Amino acid sequence: MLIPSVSLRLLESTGGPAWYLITVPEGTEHGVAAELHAEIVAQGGSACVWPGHELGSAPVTIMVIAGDAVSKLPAYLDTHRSTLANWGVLAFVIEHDAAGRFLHDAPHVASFVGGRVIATTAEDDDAPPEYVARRLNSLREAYGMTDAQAREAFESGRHADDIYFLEWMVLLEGARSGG
Amino acid sequence: MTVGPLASLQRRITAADTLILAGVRDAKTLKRSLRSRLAAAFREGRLASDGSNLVWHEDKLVPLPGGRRERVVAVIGGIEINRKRDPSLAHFLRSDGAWFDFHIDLRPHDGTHQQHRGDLELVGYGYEIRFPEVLGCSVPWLRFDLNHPAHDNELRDVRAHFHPGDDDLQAPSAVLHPEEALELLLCDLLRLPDKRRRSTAAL
Repeated sequence: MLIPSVSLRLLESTGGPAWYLITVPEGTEHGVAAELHAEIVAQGGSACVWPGHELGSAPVTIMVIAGDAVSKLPAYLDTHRSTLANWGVLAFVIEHDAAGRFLHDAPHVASFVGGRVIATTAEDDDAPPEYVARRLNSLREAYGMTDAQAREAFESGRHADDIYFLEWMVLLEGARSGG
Repeated sequence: MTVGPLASLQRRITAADTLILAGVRDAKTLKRSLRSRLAAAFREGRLASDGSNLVWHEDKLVPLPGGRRERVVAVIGGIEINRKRDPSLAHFLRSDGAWFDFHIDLRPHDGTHQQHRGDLELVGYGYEIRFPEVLGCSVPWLRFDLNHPAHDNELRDVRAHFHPGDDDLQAPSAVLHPEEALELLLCDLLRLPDKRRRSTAAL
């Protein structure tokens, strides 16, 4: 699920306790937490991220479970689950494989999370290569030109005023530089 | 050169401050706002599916005629160009069955307006929504275009325009901010309720 959709899901749960397990690729835990925070703010909500912010200081608390926290936090969270329930929406951001161990080591947290397990990734700046390839194909078909012919036409001033050709040139640069 | 009424209109609707996206300095910010709105529209029930993964972008230096290179950002909502209006191609589907896609070209503002130096500026766009027959619209599709500044249409004074279901018919339009355009496609291009239509018809 994309970050905007995850954020919206979290925002919609505010008003009552709801726990989520957000699973992410290894090494992206902090990046995804920051993206979620930015996205929630962009959607008009408020969130805090731990470590960094005070736990429970916003309607949505995003907890990064990475490094030592993967082994040390489950027992603590399991014991203090009643207190944590007062924090409203709690989203644990954890690496995919570690998520299974986390739930195993914190069975009460697991029951609080229930089915609210969402896999996501950090927002990727690069255009999906499959999309670029399909778009380029449709440009070639629409104009009956190869990429080389389109580039030649554009750079010589023909079609320089056609925004599809401008887009075509952008996509070709992207394809050439690998995304 | 004589300035005709349409040229004057054109100058007004494409004034620099309508083309600049104030505060939007990178495609990621724009992409995020559009994806957020689409995700929200799905949750609100306006969209039949969460199409936020169909918004993507490329931001590259492009060689222009004359050898100069310029940074150009393409933000695309959908995948293929869909001139044949083929519903089997990727698109955003509203819950009422209307479906749309879009593409936007932008570049950094050149700093003519100092306070907007670095903000992105619209170069062109196209937003097209199609209405299936079952909706009973007399217009099968509607497209909002902003042509490239040097396009023929600007010489005919209609750089920003819309097509009411006919490629050969166009009327001047306001320049639409991407968020405004998306909102129009998602929410406001709905048929008026029967009651309101009757009262309008009676005028």
